[in-house]
Amino acid sequence: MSSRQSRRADEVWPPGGDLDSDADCVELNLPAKPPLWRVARMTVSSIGAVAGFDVEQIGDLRIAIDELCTICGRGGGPTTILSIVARWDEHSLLVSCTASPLAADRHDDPPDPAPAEALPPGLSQDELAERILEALVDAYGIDSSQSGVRRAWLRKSR
Amino acid sequence: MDESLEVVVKKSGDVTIVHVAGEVDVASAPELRGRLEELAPADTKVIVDLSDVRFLDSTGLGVLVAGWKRFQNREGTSRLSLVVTRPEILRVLEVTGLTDVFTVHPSVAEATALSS
Repeated sequence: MSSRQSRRADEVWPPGGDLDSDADCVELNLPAKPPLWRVARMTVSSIGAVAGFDVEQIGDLRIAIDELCTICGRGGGPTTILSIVARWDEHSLLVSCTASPLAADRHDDPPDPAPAEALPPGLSQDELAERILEALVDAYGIDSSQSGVRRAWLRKSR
Repeated sequence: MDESLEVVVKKSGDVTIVHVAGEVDVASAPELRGRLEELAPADTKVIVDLSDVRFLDSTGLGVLVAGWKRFQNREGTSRLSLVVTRPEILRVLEVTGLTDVFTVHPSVAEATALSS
């Protein structure tokens, strides 16, 4: 079952998983530049293979992490860093993505979104991204944040 | 130009075939958008051949939907159709409900035959 969850700022981050205490963890930090989403895709695909997901599930993870990067990285400044943390145990994989602008990039107002296609109702860029996440992962959340920090997460079980 | 994407446009009679190869993501989608916008909207039937696309995300889908709109007829159908052979690309179209929007063909030959 898929679910979209909104989070309060004081809740544990990332939510959505009750992984074993000895869950393995990989963290990847990269500049919020779209050509580097491929690095995130490759990394999470590899983690999916290590964690025992099958080929189709790995394909799902590859698309899902790309959508997280796009959601979080949209409108990021030149020094915005995407921090991707993947944790997994024998049952599931939890991936969080946080886009944090450095102090020089911080704005009081949210950054302008990247140019989006003029799409028919129900087919906006964000709606397409959420339809993909709803279909491909067990749960996900998107946090519209303050201070220019944007974050999202997903959980997929084997 | 994004090196992960190759777009080749060919005309065959009154049908324009846009062959796309590589990965269509947020980095490379502007290249595809630009090539679709170069096409004359009035006089062509357009087949976007995605059979060599290895990856397609929501940004790429947005570009395709914008192209679909650009070639939309008065009766609501579109002169832009897709060729999809890879299951992973078809899956993205299916989960977003876009197989109900686009006409999807299994081969360029079939798409050309039905478009002519």
